[in-house]
Amino acid sequence: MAYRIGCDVGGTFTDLCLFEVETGRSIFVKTPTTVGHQGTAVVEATKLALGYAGIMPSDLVGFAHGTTVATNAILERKGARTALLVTKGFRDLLIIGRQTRAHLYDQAARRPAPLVPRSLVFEVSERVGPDGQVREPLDEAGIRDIAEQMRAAGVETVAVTLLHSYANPVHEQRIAALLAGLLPDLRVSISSEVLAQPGEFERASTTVMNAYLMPPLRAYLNAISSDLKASGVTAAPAIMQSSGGVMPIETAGGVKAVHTCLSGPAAGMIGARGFAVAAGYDNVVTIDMGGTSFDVGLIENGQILTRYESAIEGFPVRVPMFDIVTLGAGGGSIASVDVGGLLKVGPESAGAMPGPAAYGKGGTRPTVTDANVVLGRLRHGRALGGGIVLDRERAVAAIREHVADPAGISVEEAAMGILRVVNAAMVRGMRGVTVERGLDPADFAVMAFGGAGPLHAVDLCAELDIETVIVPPSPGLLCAIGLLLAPWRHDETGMVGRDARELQGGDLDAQIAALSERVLAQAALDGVVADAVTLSTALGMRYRGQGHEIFVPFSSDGTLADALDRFHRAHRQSFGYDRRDQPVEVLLLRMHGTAPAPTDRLPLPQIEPGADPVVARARLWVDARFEDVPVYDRARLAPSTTLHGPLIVEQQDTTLIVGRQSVTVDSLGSLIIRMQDHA
Amino acid sequence: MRKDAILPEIARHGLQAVAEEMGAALIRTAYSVNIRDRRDFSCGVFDRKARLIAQAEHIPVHLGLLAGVVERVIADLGADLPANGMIVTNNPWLTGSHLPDVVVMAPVDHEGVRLGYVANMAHQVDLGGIAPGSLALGTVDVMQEGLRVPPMPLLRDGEVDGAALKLFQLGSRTPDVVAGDLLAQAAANATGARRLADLVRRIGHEAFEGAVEALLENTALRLGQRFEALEGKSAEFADVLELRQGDADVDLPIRVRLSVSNGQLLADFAGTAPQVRAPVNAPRFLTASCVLYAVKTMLDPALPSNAGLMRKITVDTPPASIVDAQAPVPVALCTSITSQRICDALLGAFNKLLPDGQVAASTGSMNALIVGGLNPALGQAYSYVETYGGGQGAMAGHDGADGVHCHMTNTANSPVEFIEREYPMTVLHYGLVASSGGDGEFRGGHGLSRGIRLDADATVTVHLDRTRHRPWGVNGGGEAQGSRVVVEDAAGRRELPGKSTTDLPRGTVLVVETAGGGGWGSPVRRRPAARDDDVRNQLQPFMSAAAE
Repeated sequence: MAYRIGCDVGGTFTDLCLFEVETGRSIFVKTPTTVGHQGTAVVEATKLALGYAGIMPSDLVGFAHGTTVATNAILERKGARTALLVTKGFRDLLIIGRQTRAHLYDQAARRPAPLVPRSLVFEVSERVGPDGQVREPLDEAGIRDIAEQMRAAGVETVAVTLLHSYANPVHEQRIAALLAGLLPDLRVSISSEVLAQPGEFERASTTVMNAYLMPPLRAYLNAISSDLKASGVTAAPAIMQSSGGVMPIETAGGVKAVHTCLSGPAAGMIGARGFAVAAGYDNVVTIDMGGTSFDVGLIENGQILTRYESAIEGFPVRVPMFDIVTLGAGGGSIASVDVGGLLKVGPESAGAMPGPAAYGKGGTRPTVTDANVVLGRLRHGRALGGGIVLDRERAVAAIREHVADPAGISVEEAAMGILRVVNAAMVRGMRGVTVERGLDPADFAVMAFGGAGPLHAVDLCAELDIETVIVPPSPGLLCAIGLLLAPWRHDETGMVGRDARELQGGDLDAQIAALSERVLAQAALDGVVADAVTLSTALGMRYRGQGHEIFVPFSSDGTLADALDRFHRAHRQSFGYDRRDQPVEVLLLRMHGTAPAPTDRLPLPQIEPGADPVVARARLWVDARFEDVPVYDRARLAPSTTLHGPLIVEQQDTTLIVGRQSVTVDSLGSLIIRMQDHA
Repeated sequence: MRKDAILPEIARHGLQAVAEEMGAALIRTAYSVNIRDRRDFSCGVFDRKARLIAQAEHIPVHLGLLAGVVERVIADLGADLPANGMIVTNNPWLTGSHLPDVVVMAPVDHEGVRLGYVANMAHQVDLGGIAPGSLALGTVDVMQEGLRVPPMPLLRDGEVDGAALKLFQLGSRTPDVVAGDLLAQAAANATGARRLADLVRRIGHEAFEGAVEALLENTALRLGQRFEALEGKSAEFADVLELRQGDADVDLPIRVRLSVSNGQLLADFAGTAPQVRAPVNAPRFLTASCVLYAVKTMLDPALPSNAGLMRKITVDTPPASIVDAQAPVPVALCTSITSQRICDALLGAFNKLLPDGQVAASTGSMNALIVGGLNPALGQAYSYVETYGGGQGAMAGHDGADGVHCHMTNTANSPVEFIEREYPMTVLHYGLVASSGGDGEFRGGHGLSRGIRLDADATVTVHLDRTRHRPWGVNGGGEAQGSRVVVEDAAGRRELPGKSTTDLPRGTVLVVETAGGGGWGSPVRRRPAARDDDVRNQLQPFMSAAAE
């Protein structure tokens, strides 16, 4: 029998799914993340799972891994000591950025300080023009001086970003070769390799981030790889990228370090898509609500929306990432009454410490979680793990003191008010995310996960006229499952920069050939056979003078005229008009290669047969009064069961609240709530 | 009836979402880069009494302009806005801004009942006048600045009024773009109207009105609480705007006296220079907008942008002054330069009222550079327009930020690689001006320097200020280095006047340096570690290298 493991390290828990390839049977392990040395929990969880399944480490044929090492290194500024090398005259590239300030009115707000201080930015004389012509030769002697200064300053890694290097990387490549000879221990990342497209600040920012992350990622991945080997695992770990594809550790610790920033959340989206599509839904808004954040993602026509322009902790990063938007609302958001007597929820959060009042960890200010406890949506006495047992009295006291009494209303009214206000904020965010992308939320279903997503999903959907809510079988394990479903993926970008009227279809062939060569070379390095790789090409075009490109598919056997027609139509669809009489500029060529995931099977639900699914009854606040409702254990709900609300469904890591709607369990164990089935 | 503590906050999120969705619709449908990328627009939602109840502003200078615009237009028309139509105007004495800022507004009705209004203001690329972009120097009246349109229907009975659209097209050098952007403004309002009606339906008409009253009252209450500590106090400050008339340098004082009594703030601009026959005059609504900005930034940056703000604030301006222009004087630079100096005068006065919250002067101008001519490679005319940031003023606990847009604007720069691809120009350097921030316990931010070699003959226009009067420090902090523009060609090196238009030959090197920000506190109190950082980060002059 062959087995695979998907293992995702999150901020709090390390989740692992052991999957039997032929049958779809699975074993899940959830263990606290070992902060500071994540590898320990990963290896422990692996051993536990192998033990439960009674199999040998050598039975594993695949090990896919999602990591937060990159995210943590950025959050805690614990990347390597990084320098930046730029064209002479442009030393302040990172400080200036796009010259915008952080907040319109708050004079004290600042953009984050660059990852490279000004004292470690070095300038070299050289110049390449936008046409790729060398205008001024590279000052090689200058590189020797700079190398000496970097050595003296203890620099571990350097990013090289020269003007117009996307058009001709010769100087960047020469610098990398020179530095390899001068400082063999120095890690070098050149911008033409990380992101070959114009826009010097964003390219520099991305390259700096890559350089900054290479050493810590490499150290972590080498350690985990040898630990797994030592415990007998022969399958080489594959690392999740922010774009939903996997890559081997050598690539992740090198030229693609910056591709791991959203490793875990990307895996979650793949898992979410798996269950959504299996349930018959191709257009889905995903909501992942935890203690401190609310993440929104989009699946359109079965494809997870990807963006190429993002920022991590305020630093622009231009590599493909799933388009996940984080809004600042979570279970820990604090409620208060302001000077004018109006209720406010957030932006302050009680976080994990001290946490909501109901946790009994010292928190005394009321949170969204406390409101859920007061209204019976989270039951008094429920154990949440980590020694936390929900205490309704503490929640009541906090809400009475800080909201109900100041506003002159009952505790239940206050709790309901807190939920309505935080829901209004989340509805605003969900509308923003969809509408800004030209989509109408009413055309989508919602998939809810995270500890608090299913608590709020039904109320949110009512406000957005969304008809269906899907809760996947293991909302807390979607990332681990997604890792098992991830394909191999590699992206390349090339600069075209020509007027479409001057271009013949054949002109692009040479460039496309060069890009496919690079993709296939990476595939070979990653151990993926060329025959398994599917290449997709897109052209980035715009009307001359516009600031943004639209990407349209371009097939090698198609014509440029077809692509142009697609561009005009896409422009009309996105912006309401086209201008077929205007010159079109073909700016960029984008290519990605994918190789299929080892499996597209989803884990089967684990149902305890025969047991009564109603494990308790509870007092739930419904329509302005408490009602006695059944509490179901998710693990006892068999496929094709249909239930009618109001009711509560509990499982280890989340709680679903259903009002007057009905719920059906599908064949994979997903709960499907239909909003229009109002009793 | 007991006051509802909950519904107003739900309504606030809903209203803010309406304003934000209007912005998203505008971005998606607009033609111009100005609206789509630079976000030079703002959207507002109004109640049935034409009071602003929510706003999504991207540019602070718009903050107070939308606030009263629906009311002013209704008064100008002498009648309420007709149902199922939209009104357009760019008359500065109604919009409060210069001619390119066009306002389109729409009533929101449901089954014959007026629920409110939506409106947006967006910067159009060109509405005529003596130079492309409708922001020329050298004008003496607003007629030279371009097309001025009184409130007139853009839509009637749901249909676009072809004559109105044509009027704007005929008045513009870029008729297609202007028509497209106007229709985008209408589309944004249509979205907003639909969403506002939906919100009122969900909440219930009566409950909605109650929530709106509570929201406005709450903003006023919150602001009133900020004023409590200032009760009975007053302070005065004057700053100057630089102008060149003929061959003479002229200084135009902007003076303001702030006083708080009975919980009301009065901003009195008595003593400010009379209006001039040059495009630096500001309509008084723009002046009021600067007052709102200063109040928010100095007292409560998170204060909601709604009509409740105005209940506690009175603005007095001397008629026919540069802060209360009377038609037909020109107003083109009121948003880019005059607004910044009005803001500085206000901050100077607030500094005296709030000794612990003092903020030094920032770069003090939007520092516009306009380069135009014929691009020999394409055989086409080109026009490069960009505004440059500078140093931010320091404050207690914080050095000023380096090289950012300050106060009344916040638009992004153009990447060097795009400039060199698009225009016959080579950027020789782009960085901070060495040691340009004012010294102090906390130092001012550094100005920006950009060196450009013109690779074709060009006409160069600059809009700078603070060339002679440097940004001031506070609390013992030093003043910052001022701004300047230097050209170097076969005839040698020379400075150009801060507000000027000059023809320059191919090969000329142009260096624009913007002013830094003033310092806060005595320089002797600057922490040694901060001094060490300054030394380690070697802020050495770019100019010395460029001058070789």
